[in-house]
Amino acid sequence: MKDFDQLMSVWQGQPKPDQLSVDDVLKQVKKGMSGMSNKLLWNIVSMSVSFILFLGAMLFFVFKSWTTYAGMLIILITMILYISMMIRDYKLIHKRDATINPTDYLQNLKEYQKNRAEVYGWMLYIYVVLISIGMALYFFEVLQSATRAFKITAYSVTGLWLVFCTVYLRKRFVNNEQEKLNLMIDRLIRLQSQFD
Amino acid sequence: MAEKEAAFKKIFEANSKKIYHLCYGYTGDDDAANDLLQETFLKVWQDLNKFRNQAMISTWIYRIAVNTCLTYLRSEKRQAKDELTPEIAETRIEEVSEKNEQVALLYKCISKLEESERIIITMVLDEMPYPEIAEISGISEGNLRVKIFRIKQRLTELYNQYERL
Repeated sequence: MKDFDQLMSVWQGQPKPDQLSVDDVLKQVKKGMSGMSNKLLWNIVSMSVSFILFLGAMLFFVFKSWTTYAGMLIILITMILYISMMIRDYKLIHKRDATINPTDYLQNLKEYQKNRAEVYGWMLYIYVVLISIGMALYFFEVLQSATRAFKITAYSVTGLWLVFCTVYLRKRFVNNEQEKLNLMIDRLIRLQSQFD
Repeated sequence: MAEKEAAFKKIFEANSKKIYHLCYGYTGDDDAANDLLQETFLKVWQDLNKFRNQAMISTWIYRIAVNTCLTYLRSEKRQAKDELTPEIAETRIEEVSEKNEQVALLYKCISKLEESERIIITMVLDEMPYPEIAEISGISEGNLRVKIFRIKQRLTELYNQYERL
């Protein structure tokens, strides 16, 4: 039969853990970024590169029809929207102040999660609609000299791909995200009540 | 930069052991505890210039560690499947048994507590003053005393119950 003071001596007498060395930690912290924001940063960079390439194509290639320019412009606007959403998330991840008290911190996390769920719910629809319009307009001129069979194939493949993304992938993505968010929000609510 | 590095090393050496205990108490897993320790000190490094001695540095670091532990549940691969359940703690206990049976049993009992209780009790076990724990956890001191009393009782009960088995 042990009392709490004895448990305390057990705790304090515990062997030194296999802990990271200060030099390893220093090396890591200098590298900065956690995995999550690193991934997001990588997405921002790759999308920005695609944006620049596409913009370059629009500026340096000469197209005859206004529909091509309109299509490319819509695709570029969609890319800007997407990049700005990612930058906003990136800032949010960085802005969260880990030095505030846990109750406020959990409240911040909860708001952030809900915000993400809302935005990614309707954002994906807008993204797909804009990309579809952009592609349709772009193909109008680009495929003008192509054979009818090629045109049909190009439109069908693009259309099917977009339908697949919207119906199947979007559903999977949203369900997956929602499931994780719900789980996390539930846990956050439970945790918050523990600190009340 | 060299000054910042020196300050960081000093802070790490003075606090890392206790922060590791906190993280280990929360997760019950050595790798996860080291990850959380690293993440905590990453935030310490990033915010070191902002620290204006508004509180003791250890209080400040503890708060970062507590919030880092709470965000631990964010990661998708850890969600649900890697939560610290008594079953997982049981398996992990086997891995650490050679270290120290009593310590392992104590960690097992800590794993049975609620998340906030795990965090609070590791600070109590490290003999941190109550006002400091209250400040870190954002709970009023009066409330905290009641909580600590209950957690101590529960932990002792659990420990004695398992020791008899």
